[in-house]
Amino acid sequence: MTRSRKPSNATMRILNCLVGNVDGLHGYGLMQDSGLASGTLYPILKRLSDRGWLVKKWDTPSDDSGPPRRIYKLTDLGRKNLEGLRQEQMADPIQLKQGRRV
Amino acid sequence: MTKLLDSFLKFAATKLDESHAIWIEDLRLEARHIPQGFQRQRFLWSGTKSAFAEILRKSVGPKRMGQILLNVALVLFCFVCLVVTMNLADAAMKATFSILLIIYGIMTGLSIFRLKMMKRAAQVFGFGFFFLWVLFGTSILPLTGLNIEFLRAASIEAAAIMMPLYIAGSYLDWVEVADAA
Repeated sequence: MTRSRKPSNATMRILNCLVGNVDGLHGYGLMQDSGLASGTLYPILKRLSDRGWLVKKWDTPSDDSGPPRRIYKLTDLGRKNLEGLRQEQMADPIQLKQGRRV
Repeated sequence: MTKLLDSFLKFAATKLDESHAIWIEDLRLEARHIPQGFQRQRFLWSGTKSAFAEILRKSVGPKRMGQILLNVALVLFCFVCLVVTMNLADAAMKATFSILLIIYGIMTGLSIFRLKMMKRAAQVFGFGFFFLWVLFGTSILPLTGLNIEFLRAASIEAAAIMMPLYIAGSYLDWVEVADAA
């Protein structure tokens, strides 16, 4: 059974970065935008992907600039849930101010 | 260094289940697109730490990890008592620290083999030492000639140490139940 725990601050930061990028982001770009370390970022991306909040796609470089890499894009479910979470945060100003784990 | 970190991540992926192996593989592939060596190392290093933590969590588990930390603390207590006992000249102080050494030794053994019993022992010893502290403060016992202040300090200190040991034992018990749930 999946636990319905609300996402952490780090998760919210990732979701907020992804929502502004319709084409999706690479892991490194996401790391730079969110300010999170890769060791924090990738397990969260895995969890979000498992829940269907985001989708992973392969990006194969056309030139010989390296191996294929993943692009992470928010799904419609992810967008919908993020919107719900934002509204919840707006409704609870203490939570918003403290930025605590929700 | 980069190769070493990459090798560790590759190894970690084989030790973890498939879902973790996927994110580790994604991280390794992404690292090859980072141009600067230092940035790439930092990227891999953070991933390595996370993968290592995951391996520890999987193979050791929170209860065993907590038990190891508790045992380390108790062994340190024993070591301190042993060193102090060997370097004291006063017979009463030496005897006090010898008794404490035995008690901490018992607690160490119980924390390894019988955690539930350690909890009970911590309660009993805790109350016992507290009772001694109160007793030494009164004039019921004919303790003339002994360093009462030292005995009181030693007994209240031992009672205070028993309290976190009891809390640690309860927590580790709870972790097991929480893990199963």
